[in-house]
Amino acid sequence: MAELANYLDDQVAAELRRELESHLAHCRTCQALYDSVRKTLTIITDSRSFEIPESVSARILEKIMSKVRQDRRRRRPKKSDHSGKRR
Amino acid sequence: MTCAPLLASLFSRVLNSLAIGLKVIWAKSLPLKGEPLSFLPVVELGETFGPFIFFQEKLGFIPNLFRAQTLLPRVIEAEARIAESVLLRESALSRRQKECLLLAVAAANQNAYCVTAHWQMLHSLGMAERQLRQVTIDHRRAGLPEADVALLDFALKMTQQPTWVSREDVEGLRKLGLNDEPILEAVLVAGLADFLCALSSGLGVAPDFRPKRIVSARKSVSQGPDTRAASRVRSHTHEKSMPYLRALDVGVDGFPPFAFFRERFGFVPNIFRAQTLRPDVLEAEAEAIRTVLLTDDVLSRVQKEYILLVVSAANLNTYCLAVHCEILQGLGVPEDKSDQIAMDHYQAGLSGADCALLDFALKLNQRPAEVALGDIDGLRRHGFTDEQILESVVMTALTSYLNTLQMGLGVSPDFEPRRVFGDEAWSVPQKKIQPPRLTGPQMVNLSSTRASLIDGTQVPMGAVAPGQDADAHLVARVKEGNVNAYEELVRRHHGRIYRTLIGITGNPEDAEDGTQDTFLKVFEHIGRFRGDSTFATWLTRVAINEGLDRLRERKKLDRIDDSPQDDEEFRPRQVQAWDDNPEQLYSKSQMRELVEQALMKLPSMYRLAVMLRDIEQLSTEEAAAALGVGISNLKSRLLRGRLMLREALAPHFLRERRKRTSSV
Repeated sequence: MAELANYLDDQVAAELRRELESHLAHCRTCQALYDSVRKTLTIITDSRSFEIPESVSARILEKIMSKVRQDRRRRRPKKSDHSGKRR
Repeated sequence: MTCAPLLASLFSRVLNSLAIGLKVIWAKSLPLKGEPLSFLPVVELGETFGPFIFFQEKLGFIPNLFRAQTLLPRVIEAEARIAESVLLRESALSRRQKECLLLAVAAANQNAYCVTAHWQMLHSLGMAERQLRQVTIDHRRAGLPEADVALLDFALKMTQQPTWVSREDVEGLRKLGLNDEPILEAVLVAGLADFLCALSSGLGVAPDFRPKRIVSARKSVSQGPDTRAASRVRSHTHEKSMPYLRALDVGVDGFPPFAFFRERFGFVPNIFRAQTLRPDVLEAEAEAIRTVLLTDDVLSRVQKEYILLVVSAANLNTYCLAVHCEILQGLGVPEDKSDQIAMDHYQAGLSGADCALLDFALKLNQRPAEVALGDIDGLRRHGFTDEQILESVVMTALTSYLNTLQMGLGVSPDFEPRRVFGDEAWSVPQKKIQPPRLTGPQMVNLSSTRASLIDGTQVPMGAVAPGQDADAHLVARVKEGNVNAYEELVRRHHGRIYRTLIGITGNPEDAEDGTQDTFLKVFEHIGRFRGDSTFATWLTRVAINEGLDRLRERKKLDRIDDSPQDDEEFRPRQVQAWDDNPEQLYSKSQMRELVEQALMKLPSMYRLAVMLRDIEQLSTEEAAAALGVGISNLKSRLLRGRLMLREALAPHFLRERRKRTSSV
């Protein structure tokens, strides 16, 4: 079980897949559980959960950029240690 | 529900396998003239180098695997002795039986180098191509004698599902008329197979012969996991018990390998006491321990023990973990530190170079097929010499050998187990190992990453090759003072940062303010971003810290008792079938609301893992780097989070539900 649960999303050898599929074919409980986890993943991925509302998005963008520009006008922005000296 | 741990492991494995699909592996092609033999350079050792003469005599050629290690001749010598005593010497199992075991394990590990080598050996021992192919595909249909099939079953179980090996497996072999000598040999050969596979993957060795195509369609190697088996795992890891095989009473003083172990370790580890039926193997192992582990001239002794520790932990090997914690203590490393390294080496205050070394060992152990020249170059950039890299590969392989042996022999711990991998192996790390201020499920543990965040250094996990960060050119322009480029970066990422902050704070206002502050901080410090990870990963980490600070202000971090702590809590309880098309049961907005509600019920450490991985679709490495945790830690959180989410959603999507609603 070295390839056990906490190594989710690891590569799994093809024969293991076969092995599990053959187990799933016989075990109704595992089948139901497996099927529902798979569906859960699809549901979460497709849900567009916590999508940022349009109005919030515009507001955030505007606030950030106005502060950044203001800041830049006030003093030159901190540049990277490398490019700063060249200028 | 007793088989829950099993089911969880089953899920993750099936989910993983779905993502990967059936893979046909072709070995790297034979090296053309002038092409490198492996990732590392080779030096000329001359025709008189003992092990090479030995291989030439015994095998008729010198395998590339050993030619690839000429930077450290002492290592080749140790390996040759192991190979001689375990594989080549006349013993209870025939050479052909042993090669069959090696071939089957190599095929199960999808290791093209080893498949090719053992295929060729068996071929020269007279085995037909058709039968050889069948051994790699399904040994039960390869026309082998019953006892040989059982030995292959046993070897595959040891290497593929080691924690499931039990006394009953050994009893089963005895019933077929096998006595303890051949069984011990099967264990040793399985260990050797794992050793050779790790070695060849880590060194990227080119095959000696025309490579064989591996299409593995192996059937279940055990009777199929069941409840009884699940309880066995627990007893296997929790209880002290006698080893499975008979051992001879060998006095320590009269037997040089034991005297050696006692002198160097202060005791004779049980793993060696369990092999007294083969004193010659013990001598070879003692020699390997002496020349590979106990030397200090290439990697330090402590670095090598660290490798043993993390790889054993990854293999859930309680025994080896306990031994090496103890040994490290003798070397001046406190227990707590060893525990922390075993759990998550990034949280253990190790140097960046040592972390990279352990990352490499773990990758070689967990995902050997993915090890590439880039990993070797990565270690070189951390200042490791080629000799040190070679030694790290050998250490990882040796750990794999010892882990397999221990599981196959059922050796009981010499000390109180440091970590018992039962149920918690697939849940979160033990609490006591987490820093005190940030314990409990509400927390995302980022304490040790904060300092590095501020000065712009990133953990190498999720590190990117130059040119692979889609934001790199924008970042460069921002560094030159281009504000419009920054606006583009904000546009690209603010949605994700907002969601990440909702994931942490659970509150839209906090998320909105936090998103602004995150981008302002990042702008201010962008000169310190050096591109060790992607910009997106760095940004996410800044956001996560921002979110944690906000939580802390609200003192939400003190509330640690309102979420499931107990393993029982997230074991699947709902096992009824779901509707065939759950997405049709609700409108899109209803669906979104259900998911959001379910997500908000999760403790933030799980919620965030699921959100980063399944909603933001970050890779495992990126998500781990963003959270500042190790990959295994991320995966535990993810698995648990997904299972909890499934549990929370289940009532809405059951099959009966549609029947009920349609009949109303």
